[in-house]
Amino acid sequence: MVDPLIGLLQGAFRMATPLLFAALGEVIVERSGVINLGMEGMMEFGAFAGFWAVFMTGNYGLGLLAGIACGAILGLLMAFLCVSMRVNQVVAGLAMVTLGVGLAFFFYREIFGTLAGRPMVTTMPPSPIPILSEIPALGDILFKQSFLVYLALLIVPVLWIIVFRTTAGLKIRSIGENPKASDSLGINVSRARYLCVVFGGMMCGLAGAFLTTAYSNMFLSGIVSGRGWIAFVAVIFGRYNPLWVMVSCLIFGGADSLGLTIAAAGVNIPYQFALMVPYLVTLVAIIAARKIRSPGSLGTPYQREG
Amino acid sequence: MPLKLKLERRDVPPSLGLNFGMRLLAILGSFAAITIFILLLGANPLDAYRGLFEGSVGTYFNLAETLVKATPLILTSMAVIIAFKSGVWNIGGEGQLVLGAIFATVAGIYFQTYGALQILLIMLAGLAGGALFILGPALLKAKLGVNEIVTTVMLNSIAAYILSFLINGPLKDPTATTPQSLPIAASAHFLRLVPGTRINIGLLLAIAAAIIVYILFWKTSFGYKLKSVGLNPKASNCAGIDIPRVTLIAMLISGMFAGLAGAGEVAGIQYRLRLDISSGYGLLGIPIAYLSGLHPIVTIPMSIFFAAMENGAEAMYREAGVPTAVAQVFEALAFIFLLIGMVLVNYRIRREK
Repeated sequence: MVDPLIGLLQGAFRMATPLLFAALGEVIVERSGVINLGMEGMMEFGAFAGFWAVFMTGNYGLGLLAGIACGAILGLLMAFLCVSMRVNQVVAGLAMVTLGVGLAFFFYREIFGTLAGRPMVTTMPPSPIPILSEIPALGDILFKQSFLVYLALLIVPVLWIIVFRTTAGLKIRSIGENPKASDSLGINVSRARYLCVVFGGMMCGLAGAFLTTAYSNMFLSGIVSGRGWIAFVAVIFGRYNPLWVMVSCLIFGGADSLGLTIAAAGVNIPYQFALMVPYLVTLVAIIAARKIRSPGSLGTPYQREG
Repeated sequence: MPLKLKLERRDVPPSLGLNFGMRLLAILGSFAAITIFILLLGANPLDAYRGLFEGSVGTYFNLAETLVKATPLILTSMAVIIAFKSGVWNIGGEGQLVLGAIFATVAGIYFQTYGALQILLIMLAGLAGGALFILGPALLKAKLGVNEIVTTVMLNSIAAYILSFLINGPLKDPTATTPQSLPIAASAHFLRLVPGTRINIGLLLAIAAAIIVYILFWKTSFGYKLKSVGLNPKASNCAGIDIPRVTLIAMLISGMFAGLAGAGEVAGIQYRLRLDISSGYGLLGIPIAYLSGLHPIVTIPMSIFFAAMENGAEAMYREAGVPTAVAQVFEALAFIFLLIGMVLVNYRIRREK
């Protein structure tokens, strides 16, 4: 009776990881006042890049770097559109989704053709932590994960410290709340927002690379399956705070895991309804989160007057 | 280093000619970028573009197929225009299309009458499916202020699962080798208009829809209210417009058009439900709507153009080995160039000191 529960919880951490990478990046982005709706596209492009790099070189590190780099490229484009060109950020984000997904599919087809057999990589093996992984139950759930899962969880406190306890974080938050005041204090709003948005892109790229090299072993167009949007909700539901965002991602990851567990268990529910669970949970979350206060200047482009 | 640019609003709003020219440039720019991609692939752009032309409009049948593919695009971009002009974001066109298709299929299988009545029933089913599916997000937005981007997007994924469930379950066609639904009654088929092609009255419906939306926004007082809410909610509120009610109605109408697109695909082309009843038509509505300047009538040629790109991409692959996804990249780049262009025609660029 305990086994499926352990599997479910273990899956929750694994499935929360891509959400966590992307959402943590987006926390920085939105704290600086920019809304990046293109997360889904950046993750997809990163997913392709990571897969391709691992396929070609067998080196997971290169795969992750490729994902990060491609996420950074799209992040740079997004920053240009939103910060320099001051395009409507919602529309720019939607355009990014189509671009990211399109580029990923385009390059995948170009490089791998329409092979009958699906190109695959070996999934990154988990890295059990010695001693700790021997703990019954908890060891299985928490300490036998891929190193990327640990990385994501470790970034949480690091980012928390950066956002709430460093000068850089203070600058980011002040830009997000009141760019005009920040500008008058000498903070370079454009440069900071560029850095934040590119960082967000990099994290989305990393999240995508995780999906195709550590979570699954292949790339499919649409592999991100809405996780970019779920991560976006996790940021709001987590009140733009890395710690609560982690909790949100674990909840959403848990919903994902729950859905798969139900679907695999052969219960009398058609599997399609089980797989809907994460999206339904996300819907409930966004309804519950409707009153959460967002950074003051979120979504509004900034321009120095006069 | 980040470009520190300053945008100064131009003294005069862009003229029609400038707007048109800018959009043309965005599209040409996208073609230029695609050509670079093609060259990088080692493919011959001339072959590729010859393929594109032939595959989209080069033969009688291909031209017809392009018009066929444009039909749902016109309708989904209508959905986008109605929503965006009213100040709401409907990103759920995909899901609403699927639900419209589902309702239309059910109507076509289980509620059989004759002739025009059947066609009307199919259409109403499509409208109902789309409207019902957007009702949740619409109410949540209007009453509770819940972000409608997220709710409509989440429903897209949910719709795909509902479709899969129905096709593999209650509506399943036991005689078919691939998963699909039972076929709709022959009386429910949209009339074919041009022999030897798949052009059907769905196309006329789509064009009529565009005209109706044009009349709605430019000629009715309700349309005026919608636009007003879209442009300046605060002022509209002060003017006494009931914003939640207007928002709700706008979203419902938007969902209806997307649902109608789904009905058109089922009754005009597929005659049954399949997993691929929508290939991104809902999402494509967004760039089409923007490139058309959110003008309903302009979406007709723009949808035909996008349909031509999608159709032609297959021929590009055959002729030059360019992946069909080049169409999506083209569409995304055209959208992005357009967004930049929209800023450039309205603002002067200056370096910030």
